[in-house]
Amino acid sequence: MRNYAEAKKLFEDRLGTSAYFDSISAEVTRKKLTDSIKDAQNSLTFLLGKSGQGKSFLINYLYTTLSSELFFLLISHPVSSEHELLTLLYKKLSNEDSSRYDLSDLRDAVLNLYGSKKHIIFIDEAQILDIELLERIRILSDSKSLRFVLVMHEDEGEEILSKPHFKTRRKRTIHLHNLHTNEVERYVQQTFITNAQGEVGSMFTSKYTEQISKLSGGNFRYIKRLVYTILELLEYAKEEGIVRYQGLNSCILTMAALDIGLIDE
Amino acid sequence: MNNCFYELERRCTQYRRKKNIKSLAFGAIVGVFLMAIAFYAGVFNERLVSENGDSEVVFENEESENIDDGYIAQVTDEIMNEELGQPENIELNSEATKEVEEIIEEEIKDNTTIDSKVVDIEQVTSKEVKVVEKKILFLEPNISLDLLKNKIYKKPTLVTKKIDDPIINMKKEFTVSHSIETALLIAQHYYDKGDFKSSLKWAIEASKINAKAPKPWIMYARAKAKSGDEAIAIKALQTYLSEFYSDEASLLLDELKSIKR
Repeated sequence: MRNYAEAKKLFEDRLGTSAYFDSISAEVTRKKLTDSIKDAQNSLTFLLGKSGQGKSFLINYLYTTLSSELFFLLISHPVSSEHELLTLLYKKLSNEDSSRYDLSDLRDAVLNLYGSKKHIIFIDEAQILDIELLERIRILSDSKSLRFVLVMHEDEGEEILSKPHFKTRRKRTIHLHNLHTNEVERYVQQTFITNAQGEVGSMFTSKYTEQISKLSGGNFRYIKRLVYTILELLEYAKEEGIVRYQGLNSCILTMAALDIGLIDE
Repeated sequence: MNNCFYELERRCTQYRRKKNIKSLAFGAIVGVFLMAIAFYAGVFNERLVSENGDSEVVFENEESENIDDGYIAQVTDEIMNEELGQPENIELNSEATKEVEEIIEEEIKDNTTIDSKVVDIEQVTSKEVKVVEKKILFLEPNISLDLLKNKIYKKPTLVTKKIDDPIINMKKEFTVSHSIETALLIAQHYYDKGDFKSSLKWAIEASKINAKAPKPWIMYARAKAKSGDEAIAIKALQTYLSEFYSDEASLLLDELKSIKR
């Protein structure tokens, strides 16, 4: 009995780290990122990838695996100034009130606190940070007392990195890539099978996963949304007893792609 | 979801219809384009054959490059089969040659002229005529250049004079059979009549049918040489021999070279 309602939950856009998929790109990126974090000489790393490729997911996964080894700080909300950033960092390691410090003293206090502690600071969606703040982060990282990983969207990230003050500085850039067609099939099948939805998964043959890969461009978020929408449509067709849509077919796939805007009419 | 589902279904149908129309339109455009190419290629080909001046261009410009593009690229299994069939032809022609020679000897013994007995050969020995029609004796590689100049070589020409306008029949036959033998026969006919331009044209026509066969090239070279263009004749043979092997072509090349010297 195909349980579409349960099956579609597997493809909801959530950040649960239990569903980590070991694609080649994700594995390579994870390895590079881990090496970069453990390299004491490297205090500034850029993680670039297109929207929906799984950057945030990967950071969360690293958080769960590395937080036992080092102090792992993830800043996922926008920070507008150096003072705000330093205050945030100070409060994470100290219970004292930071308002008694001016900017210069606060900077010294933060550098002292973090300099003696093995740590890594992730800033998600760093492309939205002000360019001056990014420059301050770079200067802070030059001190080697603070170690950052800036996670950015690919295009904006490339643009920032091409600026002179970043271009010439020592840094490490890691790119996250899309899934290959065969990985899309493996991902979809693995997700269904490991969650006891093999019967639903059996509908997603190579023919359809190839189409899913083509339509989504191998982008994790689009794959999940597409499969979710397919299952939603199938669920509706089943409930309403629409005979022609009792299983996956090209029309359902096209309908799902149209619904989420992957196809223009 | 109800409205949404059926709305999506409608959009899907519309999208797929558009996609199919696009595919069909694309297919039609490609088809028309290919047909246009085929049409113009046909027109160009006709012009190439009909214009005598062009016949020289085909050979003069080619060297190895044009051989590949023009004719050698057309080499297929059919050509291979044709090539493999040659030894049988040679045997046939050897027999035919011997038979014709015997007839001539008999005629000489009887103190009659060869020409006066040509009609007899045609009428009485239908076997010989049949062989002549089947294969062209004077172009087979086993016949030496000396043999090309003797009476046996000239016989088919004399025989054909007995038929009403033979060249028209041969051309008609060529349009049906499109065989290299017929093309060469026509080329030889014109060669014998001294119409070397037409002979060249038909030699080229023959070479289009089988690019690897030496006979069209030899015919071409001979016609060119007779037209006074020994240099082009030599060049054509050299071009052919740079790609293929032929004793007859080599012999003719040597002969032409020696004449030029």
